[in-house]
Amino acid sequence: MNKEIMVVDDDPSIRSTVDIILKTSGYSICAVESGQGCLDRLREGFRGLILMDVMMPKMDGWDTIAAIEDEGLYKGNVICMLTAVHDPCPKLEKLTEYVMDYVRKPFTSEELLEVVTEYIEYVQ
Amino acid sequence: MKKRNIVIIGISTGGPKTLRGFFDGLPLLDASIVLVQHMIKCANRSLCATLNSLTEMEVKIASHGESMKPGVVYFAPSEVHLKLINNKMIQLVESPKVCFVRPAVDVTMKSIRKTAEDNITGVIMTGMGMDGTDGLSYIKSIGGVTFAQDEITSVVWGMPKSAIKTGKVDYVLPPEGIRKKLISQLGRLPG
Repeated sequence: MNKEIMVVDDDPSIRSTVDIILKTSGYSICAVESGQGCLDRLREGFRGLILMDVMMPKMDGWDTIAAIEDEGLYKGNVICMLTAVHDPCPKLEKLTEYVMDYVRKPFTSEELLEVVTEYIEYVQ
Repeated sequence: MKKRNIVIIGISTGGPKTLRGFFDGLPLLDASIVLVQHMIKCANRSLCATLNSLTEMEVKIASHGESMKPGVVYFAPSEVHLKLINNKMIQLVESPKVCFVRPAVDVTMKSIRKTAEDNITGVIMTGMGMDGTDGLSYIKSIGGVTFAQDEITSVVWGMPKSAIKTGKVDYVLPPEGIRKKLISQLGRLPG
């Protein structure tokens, strides 16, 4: 099975940075700008590691994860959050089983790759 | 009579990476360890296998009805709570979530009985929410030793912070500090 990485972030510079870092390291990646875009990809059959921004307009990262779980789209995928926020949102408490780790912004390429290397292995 | 050592660890977001460092090179301890990691089911076996390859202890997914032995880490399976009967036999139960999670380390810790034969240790590491707060207080109340991970090293300082606020935590340490203390307190089995 080909394990992909999806970056979900409304900031185009983040999507571009993650794309460059991960493609340079040999990963297959897709980038979407919203929670809705993430759901669409999952419904199309995406299976892999999802790097999810927290602060997005209309549907934030937590609402997106809740929607993923509601639609039964979580199975086999792994989610790590991308966030600049230091204090965790209370919404995480109800979704804690679905979030493996955080990548704090701004991140170095080493920090991003450390998380990706660790958690891509858990994708089923 | 030689006492049994029982350690219960609760951990959540940030756990897999934290546990990899914690278990890397961990010697064969004279203890039964129950590990409750909040995690979706499909990732259980991968993490369990990874940890098993890193430590001299045997790391396995806990089975219903199994009796705990020293030198083994029992990884609580997802979607059920893990209780201990008479501090020895593992019972997996499908009761409602506690603190929004299942397995909840509160359930495991509060299933422990106070006995003269057992040394009990509770550890709460990185994660959001309050799972482990009541459990750690309970362990302290029955004479056990309690640890919480410090803020600097926690990916999410929710569970440890909540436990520390009770005033019932003996040690607030980074993972390597917790590990060092446990090795010192528990001792090793002959390899």
